[in-house]
Amino acid sequence: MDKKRFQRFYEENFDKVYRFVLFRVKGDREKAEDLVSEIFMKALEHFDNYDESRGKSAWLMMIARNHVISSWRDERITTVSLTIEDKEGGEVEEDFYLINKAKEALKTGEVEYQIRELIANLSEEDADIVTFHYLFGYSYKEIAEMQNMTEGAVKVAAHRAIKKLREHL
Amino acid sequence: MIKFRYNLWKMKRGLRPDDRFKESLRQELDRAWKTRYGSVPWFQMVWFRYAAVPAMVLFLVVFAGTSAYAYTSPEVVEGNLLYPIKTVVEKVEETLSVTPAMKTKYYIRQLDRRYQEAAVVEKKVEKQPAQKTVEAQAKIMVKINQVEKKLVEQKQTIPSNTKNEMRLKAKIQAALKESEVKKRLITVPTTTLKLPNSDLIRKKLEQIKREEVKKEETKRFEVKAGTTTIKTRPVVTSTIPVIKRYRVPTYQVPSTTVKSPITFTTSTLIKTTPTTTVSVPSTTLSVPLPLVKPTTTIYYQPKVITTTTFYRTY
Repeated sequence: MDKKRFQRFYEENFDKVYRFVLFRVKGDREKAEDLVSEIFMKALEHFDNYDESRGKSAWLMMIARNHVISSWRDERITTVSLTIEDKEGGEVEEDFYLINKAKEALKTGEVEYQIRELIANLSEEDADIVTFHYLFGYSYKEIAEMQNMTEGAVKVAAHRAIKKLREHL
Repeated sequence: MIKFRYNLWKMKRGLRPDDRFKESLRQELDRAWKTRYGSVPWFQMVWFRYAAVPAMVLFLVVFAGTSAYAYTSPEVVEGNLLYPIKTVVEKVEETLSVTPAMKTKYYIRQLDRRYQEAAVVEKKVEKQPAQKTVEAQAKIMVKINQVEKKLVEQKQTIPSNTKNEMRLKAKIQAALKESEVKKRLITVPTTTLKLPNSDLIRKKLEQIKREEVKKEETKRFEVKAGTTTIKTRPVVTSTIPVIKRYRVPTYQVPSTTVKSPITFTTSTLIKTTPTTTVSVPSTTLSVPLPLVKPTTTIYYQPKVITTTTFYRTY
Protein backbone atom coordinates (compact mmCIF):
# COMPACT_ATOMS: atom_id res chain seq x y z
CA MET A 1 0.00 0.00 0.00
CA ASP A 2 1.24 3.42 -0.97
CA LYS A 3 1.11 5.75 2.00
CA LYS A 4 2.17 8.75 -0.05
CA ARG A 5 -0.77 8.15 -2.36
CA PHE A 6 -3.15 8.17 0.56
CA GLN A 7 -1.60 11.35 1.91
CA ARG A 8 -2.06 13.02 -1.47
CA PHE A 9 -5.63 11.75 -1.56
CA TYR A 10 -6.24 13.26 1.89
CA GLU A 11 -4.78 16.64 0.92
CA GLU A 12 -6.84 16.80 -2.25
CA ASN A 13 -10.15 15.85 -0.67
CA PHE A 14 -10.11 17.00 2.91
CA ASP A 15 -11.42 20.56 2.36
CA LYS A 16 -14.17 19.48 -0.02
CA VAL A 17 -15.42 16.67 2.18
CA TYR A 18 -15.30 18.85 5.27
CA ARG A 19 -17.38 21.56 3.56
CA PHE A 20 -19.82 18.95 2.31
CA VAL A 21 -20.30 17.46 5.78
CA LEU A 22 -20.45 20.84 7.51
CA PHE A 23 -23.09 21.97 5.05
CA ARG A 24 -25.09 18.80 5.63
CA VAL A 25 -24.95 19.06 9.43
CA LYS A 26 -25.92 22.69 9.12
CA GLY A 27 -22.82 24.30 10.51
CA ASP A 28 -22.30 22.05 13.55
CA ARG A 29 -18.48 22.01 13.44
CA GLU A 30 -18.04 19.54 16.28
CA LYS A 31 -20.27 17.02 14.63
CA ALA A 32 -18.74 17.71 11.23
CA GLU A 33 -15.26 17.00 12.60
CA ASP A 34 -16.40 13.70 14.06
CA LEU A 35 -18.01 12.68 10.82
CA VAL A 36 -15.06 13.75 8.66
CA SER A 37 -12.70 11.75 10.89
CA GLU A 38 -14.91 8.69 10.54
CA ILE A 39 -15.20 9.17 6.78
CA PHE A 40 -11.44 9.30 6.30
CA MET A 41 -10.91 6.33 8.61
CA LYS A 42 -13.35 4.37 6.46
CA ALA A 43 -11.55 5.54 3.35
CA LEU A 44 -8.24 4.38 4.82
CA GLU A 45 -9.65 0.96 5.65
CA HIS A 46 -10.97 0.46 2.12
CA PHE A 47 -8.25 2.32 0.27
CA ASP A 48 -7.45 -0.86 -1.68
CA ASN A 49 -10.74 -0.33 -3.55
CA TYR A 50 -9.93 3.21 -4.55
CA ASP A 51 -9.49 3.51 -8.28
CA GLU A 52 -8.40 6.95 -9.35
CA SER A 53 -9.26 6.29 -12.97
CA ARG A 54 -12.95 6.00 -12.11
CA GLY A 55 -13.04 9.53 -10.74
CA LYS A 56 -10.89 11.25 -8.17
CA SER A 57 -13.66 12.33 -5.81
CA ALA A 58 -16.64 10.13 -6.58
CA TRP A 59 -15.50 7.23 -4.39
CA LEU A 60 -14.92 9.35 -1.29
CA MET A 61 -18.08 11.35 -1.88
CA MET A 62 -20.09 8.14 -1.94
CA ILE A 63 -18.57 7.14 1.43
CA ALA A 64 -19.24 10.63 2.81
CA ARG A 65 -22.85 10.69 1.62
CA ASN A 66 -23.60 7.24 3.03
CA HIS A 67 -21.90 8.06 6.29
CA VAL A 68 -23.81 11.31 6.78
CA ILE A 69 -27.07 9.56 5.99
CA SER A 70 -26.30 6.73 8.40
CA SER A 71 -25.42 9.26 11.09
CA TRP A 72 -28.81 10.92 10.63
CA ARG A 73 -30.47 7.57 10.84
CA ASP A 74 -28.60 6.78 14.02
CA GLU A 75 -29.62 10.01 15.66
CA ARG A 76 -33.15 9.66 14.39
CA ILE A 77 -33.12 13.16 13.03
CA THR A 78 -35.52 13.75 10.22
CA THR A 79 -34.44 16.13 7.56
CA VAL A 80 -35.97 18.06 4.72
CA SER A 81 -36.03 14.93 2.62
CA LEU A 82 -38.86 13.34 4.60
CA THR A 83 -41.14 11.22 2.48
CA ILE A 84 -44.88 10.96 2.89
CA GLU A 85 -44.51 7.57 4.55
CA ASP A 86 -42.01 9.06 6.98
CA LYS A 87 -44.45 11.73 7.97
CA GLU A 88 -46.60 9.01 9.39
CA GLY A 89 -44.06 8.99 12.15
CA GLY A 90 -45.92 11.81 13.83
CA GLU A 91 -45.69 15.34 14.97
CA VAL A 92 -42.59 14.89 17.08
CA GLU A 93 -40.39 14.54 14.01
CA GLU A 94 -41.99 17.58 12.43
CA ASP A 95 -41.23 19.52 15.61
CA PHE A 96 -37.63 18.46 15.48
CA TYR A 97 -37.43 19.68 11.94
CA LEU A 98 -38.84 23.08 12.84
CA ILE A 99 -36.57 23.47 15.84
CA ASN A 100 -33.54 22.59 13.78
CA LYS A 101 -34.56 25.07 11.15
CA ALA A 102 -34.86 27.83 13.71
CA LYS A 103 -31.54 26.94 15.28
CA GLU A 104 -29.92 26.95 11.90
CA ALA A 105 -31.35 30.33 11.02
CA LEU A 106 -29.88 31.81 14.16
CA LYS A 107 -26.56 30.12 13.61
CA THR A 108 -25.92 30.81 10.00
CA GLY A 109 -27.42 34.22 9.55
CA GLU A 110 -30.16 35.49 7.38
CA VAL A 111 -28.48 35.47 3.95
CA GLU A 112 -26.99 32.04 4.42
CA TYR A 113 -30.31 30.74 5.58
CA GLN A 114 -31.97 32.22 2.52
CA ILE A 115 -29.44 30.62 0.23
CA ARG A 116 -29.93 27.26 1.87
CA GLU A 117 -33.66 27.62 1.43
CA LEU A 118 -33.31 28.56 -2.21
CA ILE A 119 -30.96 25.69 -2.90
CA ALA A 120 -33.37 23.33 -1.20
CA ASN A 121 -36.04 24.46 -3.63
CA LEU A 122 -33.94 23.46 -6.63
CA SER A 123 -34.10 20.00 -8.16
CA GLU A 124 -31.79 17.50 -6.47
CA GLU A 125 -29.40 17.46 -9.42
CA ASP A 126 -29.21 21.27 -9.72
CA ALA A 127 -28.80 21.64 -5.97
CA ASP A 128 -25.94 19.18 -6.00
CA ILE A 129 -24.21 20.93 -8.89
CA VAL A 130 -24.52 24.36 -7.26
CA THR A 131 -23.43 23.27 -3.81
CA PHE A 132 -20.61 21.05 -5.00
CA HIS A 133 -19.16 23.66 -7.29
CA TYR A 134 -19.78 26.93 -5.47
CA LEU A 135 -19.70 25.81 -1.87
CA PHE A 136 -17.55 22.70 -1.61
CA GLY A 137 -15.04 23.61 -4.30
CA TYR A 138 -15.36 20.69 -6.71
CA SER A 139 -14.42 21.32 -10.32
CA TYR A 140 -16.94 20.85 -13.14
CA LYS A 141 -14.99 17.82 -14.25
CA GLU A 142 -15.24 16.16 -10.84
CA ILE A 143 -18.96 16.91 -10.65
CA ALA A 144 -19.41 15.47 -14.15
CA GLU A 145 -17.71 12.26 -13.00
CA MET A 146 -19.94 12.04 -9.94
CA GLN A 147 -23.17 12.80 -11.81
CA ASN A 148 -22.32 10.78 -14.92
CA MET A 149 -22.67 13.86 -17.10
CA THR A 150 -20.41 15.65 -19.52
CA GLU A 151 -18.44 18.62 -18.29
CA GLY A 152 -20.27 20.92 -20.68
CA ALA A 153 -23.64 19.74 -19.45
CA VAL A 154 -22.62 20.42 -15.86
CA LYS A 155 -21.50 23.93 -16.75
CA VAL A 156 -24.81 24.69 -18.46
CA ALA A 157 -26.78 23.22 -15.57
CA ALA A 158 -24.80 25.28 -13.05
CA HIS A 159 -25.34 28.46 -14.98
CA ARG A 160 -29.08 27.82 -15.26
CA ALA A 161 -29.37 26.97 -11.59
CA ILE A 162 -27.62 30.15 -10.54
CA LYS A 163 -29.88 32.15 -12.80
CA LYS A 164 -32.89 30.48 -11.25
CA LEU A 165 -31.65 31.18 -7.73
CA ARG A 166 -30.98 34.82 -8.54
CA GLU A 167 -34.50 35.21 -9.83
CA HIS A 168 -35.89 33.86 -6.57
CA LEU A 169 -33.61 35.95 -4.34
CA MET B 1 -25.88 37.61 -10.34
CA ILE B 2 -22.58 38.93 -9.01
CA LYS B 3 -24.05 39.61 -5.60
CA PHE B 4 -25.48 36.13 -5.42
CA ARG B 5 -22.18 34.60 -6.36
CA TYR B 6 -20.47 36.79 -3.81
CA ASN B 7 -22.85 35.48 -1.17
CA LEU B 8 -22.11 31.94 -2.23
CA TRP B 9 -18.35 32.65 -1.99
CA LYS B 10 -18.88 34.14 1.48
CA MET B 11 -20.79 31.06 2.52
CA LYS B 12 -18.04 28.84 1.11
CA ARG B 13 -15.51 30.76 3.17
CA GLY B 14 -17.64 30.16 6.23
CA LEU B 15 -17.45 26.42 5.58
CA ARG B 16 -13.64 26.46 5.65
CA PRO B 17 -12.12 23.75 7.85
CA ASP B 18 -9.99 24.45 10.87
CA ASP B 19 -6.26 23.93 10.11
CA ARG B 20 -5.59 22.40 13.54
CA PHE B 21 -8.28 19.83 12.98
CA LYS B 22 -6.86 19.03 9.57
CA GLU B 23 -3.41 18.51 11.04
CA SER B 24 -4.61 16.41 13.98
CA LEU B 25 -6.67 14.23 11.65
CA ARG B 26 -3.64 13.78 9.42
CA GLN B 27 -1.61 12.55 12.38
CA GLU B 28 -4.41 10.28 13.50
CA LEU B 29 -4.61 8.79 10.02
CA ASP B 30 -0.83 8.31 10.04
CA ARG B 31 -1.08 6.27 13.22
CA ALA B 32 -4.03 4.32 11.84
CA TRP B 33 -2.05 3.61 8.68
CA LYS B 34 0.89 2.30 10.67
CA THR B 35 -1.37 0.06 12.73
CA ARG B 36 -3.13 -1.27 9.67
CA TYR B 37 -0.38 -1.56 7.12
CA GLY B 38 2.79 -1.25 9.22
CA SER B 39 5.51 1.29 8.63
CA VAL B 40 6.96 1.38 5.17
CA PRO B 41 10.39 -0.30 4.88
CA TRP B 42 13.12 1.99 3.62
CA PHE B 43 13.43 0.21 0.29
CA GLN B 44 9.76 0.87 -0.49
CA MET B 45 9.97 4.56 0.22
CA VAL B 46 9.37 6.89 -2.70
CA TRP B 47 12.74 8.63 -2.40
CA PHE B 48 14.47 5.26 -2.60
CA ARG B 49 12.53 4.30 -5.69
CA TYR B 50 13.69 7.45 -7.46
CA ALA B 51 17.23 7.28 -6.12
CA ALA B 52 17.79 3.56 -6.61
CA VAL B 53 18.24 3.51 -10.38
CA PRO B 54 20.72 6.41 -10.68
CA ALA B 55 22.56 5.14 -7.62
CA MET B 56 22.78 1.67 -9.11
CA VAL B 57 24.02 3.00 -12.44
CA LEU B 58 26.58 5.17 -10.68
CA PHE B 59 27.69 2.26 -8.55
CA LEU B 60 28.06 0.00 -11.58
CA VAL B 61 30.04 2.60 -13.49
CA VAL B 62 32.33 3.29 -10.55
CA PHE B 63 32.66 -0.39 -9.73
CA ALA B 64 33.37 -1.38 -13.33
CA GLY B 65 35.91 1.42 -13.69
CA THR B 66 37.64 0.56 -10.45
CA SER B 67 37.70 -3.13 -11.29
CA ALA B 68 39.12 -2.44 -14.75
CA TYR B 69 41.80 -0.20 -13.26
CA ALA B 70 42.61 -2.69 -10.51
CA TYR B 71 42.86 -5.52 -13.01
CA THR B 72 44.97 -3.80 -15.63
CA SER B 73 47.28 -1.65 -13.56
CA PRO B 74 50.53 -3.22 -12.33
CA GLU B 75 50.63 -0.42 -9.75
CA VAL B 76 47.96 -2.28 -7.81
CA VAL B 77 50.09 -4.53 -5.67
CA GLU B 78 49.75 -6.36 -2.38
CA GLY B 79 48.78 -3.88 0.30
CA ASN B 80 46.88 -1.63 -2.10
CA LEU B 81 43.20 -1.04 -1.37
CA LEU B 82 42.20 -2.30 -4.81
CA TYR B 83 44.27 -5.46 -4.63
CA PRO B 84 41.40 -7.65 -3.32
CA ILE B 85 39.32 -6.55 -6.34
CA LYS B 86 42.18 -7.51 -8.63
CA THR B 87 42.37 -10.93 -6.99
CA VAL B 88 38.64 -11.50 -7.38
CA VAL B 89 38.65 -10.45 -11.05
CA GLU B 90 41.58 -12.78 -11.69
CA LYS B 91 39.75 -15.64 -9.99
CA VAL B 92 36.73 -14.99 -12.19
CA GLU B 93 38.98 -14.97 -15.24
CA GLU B 94 40.50 -18.28 -14.15
CA THR B 95 37.07 -19.81 -13.70
CA LEU B 96 36.00 -18.63 -17.13
CA SER B 97 39.08 -20.08 -18.80
CA VAL B 98 37.75 -23.48 -19.67
CA THR B 99 39.90 -24.92 -22.43
CA PRO B 100 43.56 -25.91 -21.87
CA ALA B 101 44.66 -23.23 -24.34
CA MET B 102 42.75 -20.54 -22.45
CA LYS B 103 44.08 -21.76 -19.14
CA THR B 104 47.65 -21.76 -20.44
CA LYS B 105 47.23 -18.24 -21.79
CA TYR B 106 45.78 -17.14 -18.48
CA TYR B 107 48.61 -18.58 -16.37
CA ILE B 108 51.29 -17.09 -18.61
CA ARG B 109 49.54 -13.74 -18.32
CA GLN B 110 49.44 -14.22 -14.55
CA LEU B 111 53.18 -14.77 -14.48
CA ASP B 112 53.73 -11.55 -16.44
CA ARG B 113 51.51 -9.63 -14.09
CA ARG B 114 53.30 -10.92 -11.02
CA TYR B 115 56.68 -9.89 -12.43
CA GLN B 116 55.29 -6.46 -13.24
CA GLU B 117 54.10 -6.19 -9.66
CA ALA B 118 57.53 -7.26 -8.42
CA ALA B 119 59.08 -4.44 -10.45
CA VAL B 120 56.65 -1.94 -8.96
CA VAL B 121 57.40 -3.16 -5.45
CA GLU B 122 61.10 -2.85 -6.13
CA LYS B 123 60.66 0.75 -7.21
CA LYS B 124 58.74 1.49 -4.06
CA VAL B 125 61.67 0.61 -1.88
CA GLU B 126 62.73 4.25 -1.88
CA LYS B 127 59.49 5.27 -0.26
CA GLN B 128 58.84 2.55 2.27
CA PRO B 129 60.79 0.58 4.86
CA ALA B 130 62.95 -2.22 3.51
CA GLN B 131 61.13 -4.76 5.61
CA LYS B 132 57.86 -3.99 3.87
CA THR B 133 59.43 -4.40 0.46
CA VAL B 134 60.97 -7.69 1.45
CA GLU B 135 57.62 -8.97 2.65
CA ALA B 136 55.80 -7.79 -0.45
CA GLN B 137 58.37 -9.38 -2.74
CA ALA B 138 58.30 -12.59 -0.76
CA LYS B 139 54.52 -12.73 -1.20
CA ILE B 140 54.85 -12.14 -4.92
CA MET B 141 57.45 -14.88 -5.11
CA VAL B 142 55.04 -17.28 -3.43
CA LYS B 143 52.39 -16.39 -5.99
CA ILE B 144 54.84 -16.81 -8.84
CA ASN B 145 55.72 -20.26 -7.56
CA GLN B 146 52.04 -21.15 -7.37
CA VAL B 147 51.43 -20.06 -10.95
CA GLU B 148 54.50 -21.96 -12.10
CA LYS B 149 53.18 -25.05 -10.35
CA LYS B 150 49.88 -24.68 -12.11
CA LEU B 151 51.66 -24.27 -15.44
CA VAL B 152 53.59 -27.45 -14.81
CA GLU B 153 50.38 -29.28 -13.98
CA GLN B 154 48.80 -27.85 -17.09
CA LYS B 155 51.73 -29.04 -19.16
CA GLN B 156 51.36 -32.54 -17.77
CA THR B 157 47.66 -32.74 -18.58
CA ILE B 158 48.04 -31.63 -22.18
CA PRO B 159 48.70 -34.63 -24.48
CA SER B 160 51.27 -34.40 -27.26
CA ASN B 161 49.08 -35.61 -30.11
CA THR B 162 48.56 -32.61 -32.32
CA LYS B 163 50.72 -29.76 -33.47
CA ASN B 164 48.71 -27.27 -31.47
CA GLU B 165 49.15 -29.28 -28.29
CA MET B 166 52.86 -29.43 -28.89
CA ARG B 167 52.94 -25.71 -29.46
CA LEU B 168 51.03 -25.14 -26.27
CA LYS B 169 53.44 -27.27 -24.32
CA ALA B 170 56.35 -25.41 -25.82
CA LYS B 171 54.78 -22.15 -24.83
CA ILE B 172 54.49 -23.36 -21.24
CA GLN B 173 58.08 -24.51 -21.31
CA ALA B 174 59.21 -21.15 -22.61
CA ALA B 175 57.21 -19.29 -20.01
CA LEU B 176 58.68 -21.40 -17.25
CA LYS B 177 62.21 -20.80 -18.51
CA GLU B 178 61.57 -17.11 -18.80
CA SER B 179 60.19 -17.07 -15.30
CA GLU B 180 63.24 -18.84 -14.02
CA VAL B 181 65.49 -16.13 -15.40
CA LYS B 182 63.25 -13.31 -14.31
CA LYS B 183 63.09 -14.74 -10.83
CA ARG B 184 66.81 -14.43 -10.56
CA LEU B 185 66.55 -10.80 -11.53
CA ILE B 186 64.25 -9.86 -8.76
CA THR B 187 66.32 -7.95 -6.30
CA VAL B 188 65.45 -8.70 -2.79
CA PRO B 189 66.51 -5.99 -0.40
CA THR B 190 68.01 -7.08 2.82
CA THR B 191 66.64 -6.06 6.05
CA THR B 192 68.48 -3.23 7.61
CA LEU B 193 72.13 -3.95 7.48
CA LYS B 194 74.05 -2.22 10.19
CA LEU B 195 77.56 -1.02 9.48
CA PRO B 196 79.97 0.94 9.63
CA ASN B 197 82.78 -1.19 8.50
CA SER B 198 83.89 -0.09 5.09
CA ASP B 199 85.76 -3.34 4.39
CA LEU B 200 82.74 -5.42 5.05
CA ILE B 201 80.61 -3.19 2.92
CA ARG B 202 83.15 -3.38 0.14
CA LYS B 203 83.21 -7.15 0.37
CA LYS B 204 79.47 -7.34 0.30
CA LEU B 205 79.20 -5.05 -2.68
CA GLU B 206 81.88 -6.92 -4.54
CA GLN B 207 79.96 -10.10 -4.01
CA ILE B 208 76.90 -8.44 -5.43
CA LYS B 209 78.87 -7.18 -8.38
CA ARG B 210 80.16 -10.66 -9.14
CA GLU B 211 76.64 -12.02 -9.13
CA GLU B 212 75.43 -9.30 -11.39
CA VAL B 213 78.22 -9.90 -13.88
CA LYS B 214 77.27 -13.55 -13.89
CA LYS B 215 73.75 -12.64 -14.62
CA GLU B 216 74.69 -10.51 -17.57
CA GLU B 217 75.83 -13.62 -19.35
CA THR B 218 72.26 -14.86 -19.55
CA LYS B 219 70.81 -12.74 -22.29
CA ARG B 220 68.91 -14.86 -24.65
CA PHE B 221 67.94 -18.47 -24.77
CA GLU B 222 65.98 -20.75 -26.96
CA VAL B 223 63.57 -23.42 -26.10
CA LYS B 224 63.10 -26.36 -28.30
CA ALA B 225 60.02 -28.47 -28.00
CA GLY B 226 59.19 -31.06 -30.54
CA THR B 227 59.58 -29.56 -33.95
CA THR B 228 58.69 -26.04 -32.87
CA THR B 229 61.36 -23.56 -31.90
CA ILE B 230 60.19 -20.65 -29.86
CA LYS B 231 62.37 -17.67 -29.30
CA THR B 232 61.62 -15.82 -26.18
CA ARG B 233 62.27 -12.15 -25.97
CA PRO B 234 65.54 -11.20 -24.28
CA VAL B 235 64.82 -10.95 -20.66
CA VAL B 236 68.26 -9.87 -19.63
CA THR B 237 69.72 -6.94 -21.45
CA SER B 238 73.16 -5.55 -21.36
CA THR B 239 72.02 -2.74 -19.18
CA ILE B 240 70.66 -4.59 -16.26
CA PRO B 241 69.06 -2.12 -13.92
CA VAL B 242 71.45 -2.82 -11.16
CA ILE B 243 72.44 0.64 -10.16
CA LYS B 244 71.93 0.09 -6.54
CA ARG B 245 71.63 2.58 -3.85
CA TYR B 246 73.28 1.99 -0.60
CA ARG B 247 72.20 4.11 2.20
CA VAL B 248 74.85 5.02 4.69
CA PRO B 249 73.28 7.31 7.17
CA THR B 250 75.15 9.54 9.50
CA TYR B 251 73.80 10.90 12.63
CA GLN B 252 74.98 13.23 15.31
CA VAL B 253 73.98 11.91 18.65
CA PRO B 254 73.35 14.73 21.07
CA SER B 255 73.96 12.83 24.24
CA THR B 256 77.29 11.63 25.55
CA THR B 257 75.98 8.38 26.93
CA VAL B 258 74.22 6.69 24.14
CA LYS B 259 72.95 3.20 24.06
CA SER B 260 72.89 1.37 20.82
CA PRO B 261 71.13 0.76 18.56
CA ILE B 262 70.43 4.18 17.11
CA THR B 263 68.78 4.74 13.79
CA PHE B 264 70.20 7.25 11.37
CA THR B 265 68.14 9.68 9.44
CA THR B 266 70.45 11.49 7.06
CA SER B 267 72.25 9.56 4.42
CA THR B 268 74.83 9.51 1.69
CA LEU B 269 74.32 7.50 -1.42
CA ILE B 270 76.91 5.20 -2.83
CA LYS B 271 76.26 3.85 -6.27
CA THR B 272 77.48 0.75 -7.94
CA THR B 273 77.02 -0.67 -11.38
CA PRO B 274 78.16 -4.01 -12.79
CA THR B 275 81.08 -2.32 -14.47
CA THR B 276 82.24 0.10 -11.86
CA THR B 277 84.03 -0.73 -8.74
CA VAL B 278 82.19 -0.15 -5.59
CA SER B 279 83.74 2.36 -3.39
CA VAL B 280 82.57 3.56 -0.10
CA PRO B 281 83.78 7.01 0.68
CA SER B 282 85.67 6.96 3.88
CA THR B 283 84.24 10.31 4.88
CA THR B 284 80.83 8.81 5.06
CA LEU B 285 81.84 6.11 7.39
CA SER B 286 84.02 8.04 9.73
CA VAL B 287 81.09 9.56 11.33
CA PRO B 288 81.78 12.29 13.81
CA LEU B 289 79.81 11.15 16.73
CA PRO B 290 79.91 9.88 20.21
CA LEU B 291 78.36 6.59 19.21
CA VAL B 292 77.25 5.41 15.87
CA LYS B 293 75.08 2.67 14.77
CA PRO B 294 74.56 3.60 11.18
CA THR B 295 72.21 1.61 9.09
CA THR B 296 72.20 0.82 5.46
CA THR B 297 70.03 -1.06 3.09
CA ILE B 298 71.78 -3.20 0.54
CA TYR B 299 70.19 -4.87 -2.40
CA TYR B 300 71.79 -7.85 -3.87
CA GLN B 301 71.03 -10.91 -5.88
CA PRO B 302 69.95 -13.61 -5.74
CA LYS B 303 67.26 -13.53 -3.12
CA VAL B 304 69.21 -13.97 0.00
CA ILE B 305 68.29 -12.00 3.01
CA THR B 306 71.17 -11.33 5.30
CA THR B 307 71.23 -9.21 8.33
CA THR B 308 74.56 -8.32 9.70
CA THR B 309 74.95 -6.18 12.72
CA PHE B 310 77.99 -4.11 13.38
CA TYR B 311 78.51 -2.12 16.46
CA ARG B 312 80.98 0.54 16.89
CA THR B 313 81.98 1.81 20.23
CA TYR B 314 84.11 4.74 21.10
